[in-house]
Amino acid sequence: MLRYILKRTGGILITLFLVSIFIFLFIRMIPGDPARLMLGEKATPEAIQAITQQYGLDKPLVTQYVIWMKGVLVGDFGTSLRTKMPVLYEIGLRYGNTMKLACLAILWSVVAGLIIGIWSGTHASKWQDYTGITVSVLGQAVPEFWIGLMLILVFCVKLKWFPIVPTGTLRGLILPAFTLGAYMMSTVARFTRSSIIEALKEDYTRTARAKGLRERTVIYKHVLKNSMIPVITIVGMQFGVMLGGAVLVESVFGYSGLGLLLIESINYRDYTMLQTLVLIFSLHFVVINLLVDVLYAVVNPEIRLD
Amino acid sequence: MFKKKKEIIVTEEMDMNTRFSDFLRNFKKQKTAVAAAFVLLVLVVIAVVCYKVAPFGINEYNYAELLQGPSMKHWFGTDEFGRDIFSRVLCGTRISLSIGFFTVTVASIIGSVIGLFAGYYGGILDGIMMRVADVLYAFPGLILAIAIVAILGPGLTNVVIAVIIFCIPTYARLVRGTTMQLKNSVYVRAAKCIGASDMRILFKHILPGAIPSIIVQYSLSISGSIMTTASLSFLGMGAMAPTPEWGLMLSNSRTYFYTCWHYAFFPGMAIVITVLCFNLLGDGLRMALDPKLNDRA
Amino acid sequence: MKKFLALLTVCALILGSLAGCGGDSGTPDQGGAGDTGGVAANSDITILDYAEMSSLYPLDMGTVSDAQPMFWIYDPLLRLDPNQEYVWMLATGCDTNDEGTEYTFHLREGISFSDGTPWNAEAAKANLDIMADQSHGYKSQFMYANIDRTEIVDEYTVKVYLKEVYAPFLNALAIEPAGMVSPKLLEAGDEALNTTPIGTGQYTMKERRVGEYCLYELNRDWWGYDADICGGTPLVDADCGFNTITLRPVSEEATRVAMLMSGEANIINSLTHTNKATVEAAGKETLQKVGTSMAYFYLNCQKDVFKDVRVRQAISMAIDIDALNDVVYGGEYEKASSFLTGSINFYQPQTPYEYNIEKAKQLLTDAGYGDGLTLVCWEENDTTDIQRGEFIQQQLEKVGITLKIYPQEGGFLTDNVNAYSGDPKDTAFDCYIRGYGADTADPDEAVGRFASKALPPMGGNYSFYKNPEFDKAIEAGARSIDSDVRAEAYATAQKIIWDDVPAVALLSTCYSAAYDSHIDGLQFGPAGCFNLMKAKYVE
Repeated sequence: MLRYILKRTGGILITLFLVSIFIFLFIRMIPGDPARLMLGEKATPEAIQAITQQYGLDKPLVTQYVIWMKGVLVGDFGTSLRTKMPVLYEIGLRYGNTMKLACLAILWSVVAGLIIGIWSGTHASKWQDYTGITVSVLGQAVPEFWIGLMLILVFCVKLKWFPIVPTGTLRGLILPAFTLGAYMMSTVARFTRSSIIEALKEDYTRTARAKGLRERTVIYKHVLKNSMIPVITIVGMQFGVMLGGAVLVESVFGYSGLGLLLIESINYRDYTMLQTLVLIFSLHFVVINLLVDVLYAVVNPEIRLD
Repeated sequence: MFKKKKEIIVTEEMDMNTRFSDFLRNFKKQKTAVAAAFVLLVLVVIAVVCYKVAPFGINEYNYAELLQGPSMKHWFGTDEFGRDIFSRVLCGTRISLSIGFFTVTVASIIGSVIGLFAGYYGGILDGIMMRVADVLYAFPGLILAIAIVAILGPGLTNVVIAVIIFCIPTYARLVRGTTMQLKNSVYVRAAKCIGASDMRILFKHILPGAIPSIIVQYSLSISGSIMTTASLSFLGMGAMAPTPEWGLMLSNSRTYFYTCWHYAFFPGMAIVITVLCFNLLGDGLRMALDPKLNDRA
Repeated sequence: MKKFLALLTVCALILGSLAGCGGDSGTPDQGGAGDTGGVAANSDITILDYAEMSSLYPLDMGTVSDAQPMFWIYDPLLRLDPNQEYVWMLATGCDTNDEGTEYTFHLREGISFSDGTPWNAEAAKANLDIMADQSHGYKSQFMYANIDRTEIVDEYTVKVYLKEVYAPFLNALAIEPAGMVSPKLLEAGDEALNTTPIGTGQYTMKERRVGEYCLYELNRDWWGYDADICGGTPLVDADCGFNTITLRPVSEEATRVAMLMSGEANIINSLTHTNKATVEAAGKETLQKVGTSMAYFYLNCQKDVFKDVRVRQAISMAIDIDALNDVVYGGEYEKASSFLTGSINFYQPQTPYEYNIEKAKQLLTDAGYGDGLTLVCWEENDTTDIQRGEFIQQQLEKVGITLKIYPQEGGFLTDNVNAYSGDPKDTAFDCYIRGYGADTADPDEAVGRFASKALPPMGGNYSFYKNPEFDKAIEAGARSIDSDVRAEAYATAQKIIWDDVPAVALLSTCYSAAYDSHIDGLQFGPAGCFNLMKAKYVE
């Protein structure tokens, strides 16, 4: 098991290394002199010269990459072009907000998705199933930014149940988390449903039933256990979609998180902030996928042999 | 994405014709998918004729009728310049559908070619291509699109480029998988024996085997592409005024949101319907191609 | 099943730990306990602005949002009241020599900064020296480029020497960037200036969460409440002020409106006429003030296409400004009749350009652009600004001009134009729509910005307009303190620029705000920030 984890971690490290090169080149592709970008419009030629040397901008690309990487590894991501404050400081202020939102969204969507999926799967082709399918199909087709607006209109403006701008309290987070989780909920429901339907056809189910076990026991003890594996995978895979969705949801609700920060930095062309944010998003994505793979291997030992 | 693991392995021995009729028979059983296909057909027709049938011009201003609610004259109401929202939503169909089809077509062609070569020749080429795909996969989809647009600058053209780039790896992986399975099949080995060129084998014998899964993915990608375009426009990075793009209309509607619900509602519904139909069609196609997935229904 | 349960537990643990690292955030902890002085005990109010401030150092402010809290935390030497009259703040008065090159300020005694540092000539000199030293490169510094040096006369007197006569000097000291900062803070450097502002003002900053809110607390020892320091009558009554002010950036106007309606906010800044009607219908108050700012449609005169005055005039005739006013601003703005707004001294109305599409087309044809013309236009990405741009786009389409508009963030636009080092005729934009406020309410700032001395990055001459005659008139106006001389100079300048159309003067803009019934005495300062000095809370 340990070997498997190490192997997968190694693979992730290689990917992250490549990702960092990608982001590095990405920033070089932006037109304009980075020193000028850093110092602003009124910088004197001497100051620009100084920064160019300090950051080694006149050195070959490889050297520049090494310099940048050295900084990143000790946590020096540079200074925001917009606020002149360290990038990590600004990100730190908002990181928790996005995580709270994402975790809440995952929590409700997985729970609701499982319930709907099990319900649908065990009542295939009955009205329960059709209801479940309809909900999950709709959940995947409705854009976050639109459903968010509609929810605000109904629940905040008309009914006044929730504050309009989320303040970080649980009550304020309900609507954004609901919006963000809708897509994941649908996906989880769909996969649970089809997994269960498949598992119900398997031999072990028939055996269990033949033994005279109660249907409830069959479902929860045998069917569910075996149908969880694809569901775990999909949760991991959907995490990335969710990070993207967070950008939209935060923008709709005016919730101050990393997504909103990303939009602001793009608007202002705050490239140091932008590259760090993109790196952080991809780091999360990759690490979550690793965790999912490991969990997957825990549940299903055969995978490790791959 | 998990769907890929359930890819249909189509063996080349199967006769193309029976396979197609099987597929049609199976597809017809998918009532919702057939309905979705029908709605999509209507949308395509709308996209073609929209400028002719729209009751008002997309940029026909009427400063005397600002932000009016739905009425007999303006079915979906009017916007902040007194333009007819119904006409603009109709004409937005052309933009969204053409971007959807264009981006995914280009991405699927490029991706498939990359996948074919990578899967067939293997080696360094394969290693490099799959690493690149890994890197692109390491970014959450929308974030990658946003980052690309951030470099290229806002605008629909750049959104199209961004969507193409992030769609490519999906197809490359998909086709690579099928290619690797098929390249050792009896059929391909036989073709090699009679001296068929690599190109002939790739495009004549292997590619057709990958087509079904490409088609399924195609339908699903289009909905993703339409959604991404609308999202970027909503964030102010996509379409520019006065383009009647749905996401942009939604974005503009936000200022008047509390007084004019209709302005946000209808463009949003247009997105929902279009995306929903492509998703349902994709599901239906997948089930038709792999009847095993057909549940007990 | 056990494994599944274990798995769920692991998931829950991961989620839990992730959620835990979120730390605390959310609504600020509004004090309220303790001595409330004369201010209503529960006067904790929330103000919504449309953007986040980017700096907390007055001199480094670039936008109105930056300026918003500056006058709450910092006091300047003097202020302008709504009638553009001087109100003496940290100084009690000033003497000028006849030429207008030396200003002697008598400082108010008995005031200290919130860190305990006394306000005296030394503190004043420390501030004025930084304002004068252009090498710092703070955003609003150019206003003080005329200061030569500052001398301490005695503990409460400073003398400022100007390099040359600069008529609007006192006005420049009355605006937000001239807020006086604690000398200790100035020494501490940029980071401290940006995180822990220390001034003499009515409020102090208690807490800030970037992007979420900034909490200000009433400074109960503020000198403005003290009759002795103010020389008999206090500057404001004891019941003026609020216990705490929470300032939040909310970029979407609709969200601001909804928050006002639901009681989550007490005061909101900036709203369009559609929403103004909505809030008024809901029983909220609105405040409006014709500002000193004007929206211009700048035409880059260095571009070949705009070298021909006929093209510029054609554009001027093709835009129906009255309709723009009606459609975008509900008719509440004022159509420009000069390059100055009516509220600025020495304003002289000009003969308006008539709205005439046929004539505009003819002019374009004469200039060789009868077949149409495509122009790239920049503007801010604020909702009403986008709408304004779209309207102009629609208007120009009628004369065959296709306007390609790129709405972008205001700060980015400013930096980008200023950082442009190439030939002005190669700028990425052909035209540029932007509002500009003359905070000093002086024509030198308002129309002087079209002079060669204000070419980017030194100022806002985004038209890259160069006209020696115009420059001469502007110079004559700025270098005299004689009203008659100035009036004549600015009359000439306004005439020249109106006929030359380096930009189309669109509308004098209005500041607008809405507030609920708990707020009384809210005013707008000259730059469009809230002047809360005399505002109070009513039940």
